[in-house]
Amino acid sequence: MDPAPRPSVIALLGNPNTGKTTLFNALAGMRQRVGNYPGVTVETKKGQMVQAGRTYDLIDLPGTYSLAPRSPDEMVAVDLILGQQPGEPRPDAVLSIVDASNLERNLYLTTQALEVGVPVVVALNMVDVAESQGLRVDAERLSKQLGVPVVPIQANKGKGLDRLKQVLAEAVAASHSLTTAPFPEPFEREVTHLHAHIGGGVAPFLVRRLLLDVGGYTEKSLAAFHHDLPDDVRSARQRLIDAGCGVPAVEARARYGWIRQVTAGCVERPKVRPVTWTDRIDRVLTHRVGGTLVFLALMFVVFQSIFTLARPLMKLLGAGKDLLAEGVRGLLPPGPFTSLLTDGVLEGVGSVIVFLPQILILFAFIAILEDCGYMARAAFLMDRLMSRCGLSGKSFIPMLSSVACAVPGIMAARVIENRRDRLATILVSPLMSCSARLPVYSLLIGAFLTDGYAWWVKGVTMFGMYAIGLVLAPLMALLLKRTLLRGETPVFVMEMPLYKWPSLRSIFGRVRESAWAFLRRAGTIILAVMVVVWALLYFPRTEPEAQTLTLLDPETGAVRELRVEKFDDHVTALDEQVDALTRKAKATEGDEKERWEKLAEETKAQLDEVNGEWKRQSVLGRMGRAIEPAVRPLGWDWKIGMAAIASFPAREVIVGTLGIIYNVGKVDADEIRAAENIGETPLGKALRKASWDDDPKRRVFSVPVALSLMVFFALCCQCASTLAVIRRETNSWRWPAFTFAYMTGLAYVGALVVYQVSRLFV
Amino acid sequence: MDWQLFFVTLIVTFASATLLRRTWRTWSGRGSACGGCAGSSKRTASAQGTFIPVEQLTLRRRGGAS
Repeated sequence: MDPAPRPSVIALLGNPNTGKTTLFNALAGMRQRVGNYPGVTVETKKGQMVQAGRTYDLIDLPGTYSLAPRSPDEMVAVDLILGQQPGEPRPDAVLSIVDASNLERNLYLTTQALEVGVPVVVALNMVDVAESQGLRVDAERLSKQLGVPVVPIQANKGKGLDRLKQVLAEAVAASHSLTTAPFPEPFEREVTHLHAHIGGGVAPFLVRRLLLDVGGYTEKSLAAFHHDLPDDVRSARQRLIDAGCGVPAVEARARYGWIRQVTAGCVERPKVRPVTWTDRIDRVLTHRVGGTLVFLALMFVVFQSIFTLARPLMKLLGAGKDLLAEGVRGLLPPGPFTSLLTDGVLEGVGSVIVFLPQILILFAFIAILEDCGYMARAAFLMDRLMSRCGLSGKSFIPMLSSVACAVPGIMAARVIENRRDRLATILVSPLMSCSARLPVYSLLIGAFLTDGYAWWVKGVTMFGMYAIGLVLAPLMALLLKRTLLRGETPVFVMEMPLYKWPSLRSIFGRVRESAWAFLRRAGTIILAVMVVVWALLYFPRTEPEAQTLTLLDPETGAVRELRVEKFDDHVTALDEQVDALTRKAKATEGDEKERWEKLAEETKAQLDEVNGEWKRQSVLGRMGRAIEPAVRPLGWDWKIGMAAIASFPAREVIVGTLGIIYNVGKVDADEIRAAENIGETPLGKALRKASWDDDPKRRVFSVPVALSLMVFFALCCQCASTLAVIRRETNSWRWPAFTFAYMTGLAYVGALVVYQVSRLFV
Repeated sequence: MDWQLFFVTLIVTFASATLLRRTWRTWSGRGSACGGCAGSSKRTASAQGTFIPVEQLTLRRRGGAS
């Protein structure tokens, strides 16, 4: 029995923002999945379409302006169309999606697809948008002149899709000769000559690309197999210049010339282009002054909302964590395992998880701004600054992506062809404040910039922290471009997508993904670091000499003596004594209340002394005291210094480490609940109470210390994943080492200056 | 060794091994990257703006087409 024939494959090809993915979703419905190709980060969607009882496989190729393979995206698209992607069959047809409101430029890609030699169907999308601009396209006439079927559709409304499916099925079944844009005769002669030289194994389309794309992917990949090829290509290009048809200009000239011919009489235009809503909004949002003010206002709203909207959920998570810790302490006897669960896992990981609502709000805002088309305008505004720093606008996209996380941001730099520009972008992208820094900022701002400060101070300070990266990254790029990475910058033209209402599905999808990623991270790497940090702080467990404690029962006034031989028994006894004295103080009034409070404070000081001595003798304590002289100028004690070092695997680890070191569980729960400022977390409360080991009356944390710590984290490179991805992308150890060194140096100097200057004013 | 210390030793050993393994996988390029990057890779880049190679527009500028 013969195996069932494979379904015909149709590849969807189109410029970005032409509604390609919307059309793919409309054709494939729920029958779709996301695929990745080895060695590249390019995602393609696959799905199935049914027409007249037959099933067709659909591949949604990455959005691209051209089939000139310059970046991994374009290389994947070209390989798939040519059937050279391993494991993928050659498509039986290409569905070229064209924006009817921008017909000529969109047909540029279609003319390239026609040269591949696969049947092409043109889907004329956004006809409604074109009509709103007074443009009318005669699809039937265009089809005749172009030599391929042209079907007008509105993908977002599902209009014209039945006809499109029918035409696609016919195109797959029929094989017809394709018309292509004619190139000058000298060019065709050089293509034939080169093809004969390379051999028949290379597709004719790639030979054309080899000649046209100066320094492109094709040239690099073919040169690996044909060593004399670069010289041949150089000579061929020189002959083309002599013949008056030099590359790459000849391509644009030939294609647009042909496009003008085939669209002649097909497009009816208004005499005056009507002003659209997008034009009106853009007049404000892309204005040098107005646009910048709107950008600043939007950022303020985002950061202020992070504090105000997240409060109730943060409070709930914090209370849940405390309740769980109390439950565990009640269930298990005192000992290392109980301490690991409560002081290590629950305090450490719990202190980080409390910030989940803020992370979700940040991602929701990013998704809304991206989906409605605003981010492209923000990139446009920043492009002016980037170009002054010697980088092209392309560099801003990876930098903006780094606001979520530097890893995809650095990977997005692959679209930059110029090696020096790509390297400069990779090296400065980690300066942008990523979502892992948010818990650090949020904790310290919530704890130290609340009482006595105006309501807007929190939002402005948070914006300031993000602005540090936004300002310093281009300046650092400028420095690199003028020293290590000197070179010219290519020019690019940026296309603004039309404004649209954000899709709820897309926003929820993004928020869900980020929530899952954050929790997964908390449950793996952060949990593991917390356990190790706890162990370093808990051990070695040198038991002190046996002591006799004198304890008072505040209710009966009875005094008893307790002989303690173990450290845990010592701490538990003092802890219970503090609780009993505090309860009594709360239940009494006047002088008696004062007396009980004083007793409670004295016992608490005794407890702190015992705990402090144990921490100082621990492995972490000894390491911390060794580095303390280096961090003292920043206003930090050894505990902050160790927390900063422990956060090397991931920045948000510092929050959990501070939770463990400052032992949040010992903070009075009633006091926390009574805190008027709900934005302040239990850990924030603990930090406010922390004092220096050598001077218990002096508080460790103050506004200058908080600012110094935030600035350090805004600038440092405490992220192993970022350094690893830099090594992968640059294929060298030198650049991640350089990035770590320059960012740590910058962070130290920044924190030092901020601390020393701010303590003069605060 | 009491039971609490026994479990603590097990957990700390496992956590240290996990950290070492993750570090090795990250540096050797086989591990997953930073968790914060969820949903912010290609889609983010394309949503933030797209760039047209300027040579593709050369003729439009000179000839004034479209």
